[in-house]
Amino acid sequence: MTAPGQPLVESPWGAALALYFVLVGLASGVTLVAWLLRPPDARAARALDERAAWVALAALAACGLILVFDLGRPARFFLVLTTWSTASVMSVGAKLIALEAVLLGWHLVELRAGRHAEHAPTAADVRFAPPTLLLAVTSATLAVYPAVLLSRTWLAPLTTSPVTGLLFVNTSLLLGLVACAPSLSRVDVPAFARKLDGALVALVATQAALLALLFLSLHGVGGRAQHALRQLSAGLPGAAFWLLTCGVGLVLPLAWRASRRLRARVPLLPVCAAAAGAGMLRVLLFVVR
Amino acid sequence: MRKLAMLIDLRTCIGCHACSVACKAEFDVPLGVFRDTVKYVEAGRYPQARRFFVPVLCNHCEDAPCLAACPTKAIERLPDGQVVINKGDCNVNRFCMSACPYGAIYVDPEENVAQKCTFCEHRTAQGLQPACVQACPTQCRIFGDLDDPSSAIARKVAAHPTAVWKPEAATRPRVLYVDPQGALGHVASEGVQVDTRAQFPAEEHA
Repeated sequence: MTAPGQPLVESPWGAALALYFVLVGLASGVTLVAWLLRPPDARAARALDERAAWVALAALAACGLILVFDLGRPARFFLVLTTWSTASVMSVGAKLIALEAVLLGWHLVELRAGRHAEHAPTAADVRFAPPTLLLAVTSATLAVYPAVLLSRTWLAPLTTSPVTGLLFVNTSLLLGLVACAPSLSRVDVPAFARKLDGALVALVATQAALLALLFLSLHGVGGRAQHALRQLSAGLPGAAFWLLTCGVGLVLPLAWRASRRLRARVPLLPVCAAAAGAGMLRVLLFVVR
Repeated sequence: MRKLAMLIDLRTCIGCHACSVACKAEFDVPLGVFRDTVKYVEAGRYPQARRFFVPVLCNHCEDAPCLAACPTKAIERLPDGQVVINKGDCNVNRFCMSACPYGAIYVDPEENVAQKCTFCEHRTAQGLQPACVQACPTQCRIFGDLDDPSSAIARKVAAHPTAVWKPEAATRPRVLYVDPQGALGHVASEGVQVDTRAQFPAEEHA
């Protein structure tokens, strides 16, 4: 007999797809964070942009490799890119990823050519230039894409809650923040450091609030969604959720930040912990059913 | 264009598996995967214990989630309504398997493509009945054009209340059941595929 409520004995998508969902979050999050938390100094902004673009491209390349090798017929991978099926979330997602990669490549070429520094001295000029804006919009859409994809399957009953879309966006931003942190922490502007600190606190607090809303939205609904919610709270998934997602991802960053002495010793630990919790949450939203 | 559908009368299914065997033979379906099978479910407690036989297969849904899911358009709906998979365009991304609430789709281990019931399109195109319908000894399966009021299926649908498997999935299946005893509710969390990982008790050595 299959697992309760599961039409197939084994899930058609395995661990490789769990990693894919984390990496696509990293790719979308790092470009969004670089766009949102733009340093006031042009040189620092350019360094951040370059770093973010390379990290995002590497993550998307890894996503592509995962998808190709996960396919039963990798030689036909191109069909996902060349076939236009607006009804298929996966088809739209593949085009989004391709568009993101193209825009990132263009962005790097522009950065290398120094156009941003020469012709767009203000942060607003760069941020709202059409191609940069399109990259930001594509990244934001890509941040929600996994939630939309999973909601069309029986694999992830938790994604039937409308809160999961927001959770995927928030976790993307946390993953992106850790990738941008080394560049952002080097900006020697106290006001910017406070802004960065505030961003971390806001994202962690939002994560906590969204998790509470997730439980609230699925409590009492019955069926597989509620069964998945119970799975999330107990057993091995529960241990991962409470220890990693909540303990490491939420409590640790805030506690570390509250201690001035600890903050001075390992300043990047809170953001790393928050990102680890965010990554684990993405995996749990996919595997718990 | 016809609106081909299947009606299964659970009052007369005897669970003989002639349909499953016929399907396996017709398509040379490999071991471990299924296009059509019969679920045996038990309900109640002695002395009111009862046993039901519920044949399940792809429902060729009007709102087929697999059709919408496929990113390579390998899944298409034929003019008469059957939902079929074109092997050539399938890259085995398995989104269709993830989308189908009935577990009707499997990956053929020999051909390495997604496969499922086709309502025996190759037979019905020649005016024959699907293999499972032809094999059934109690004629509990009726196949035909729902839009033809003189067809056997249309007459039976008009004469009896019908139910569908997993109505909460809202896929508008084209496989209907005459199920006065509510047997479908006992397979609400099942799928077409069968768990073939048999668990045998350890043998006792003398």
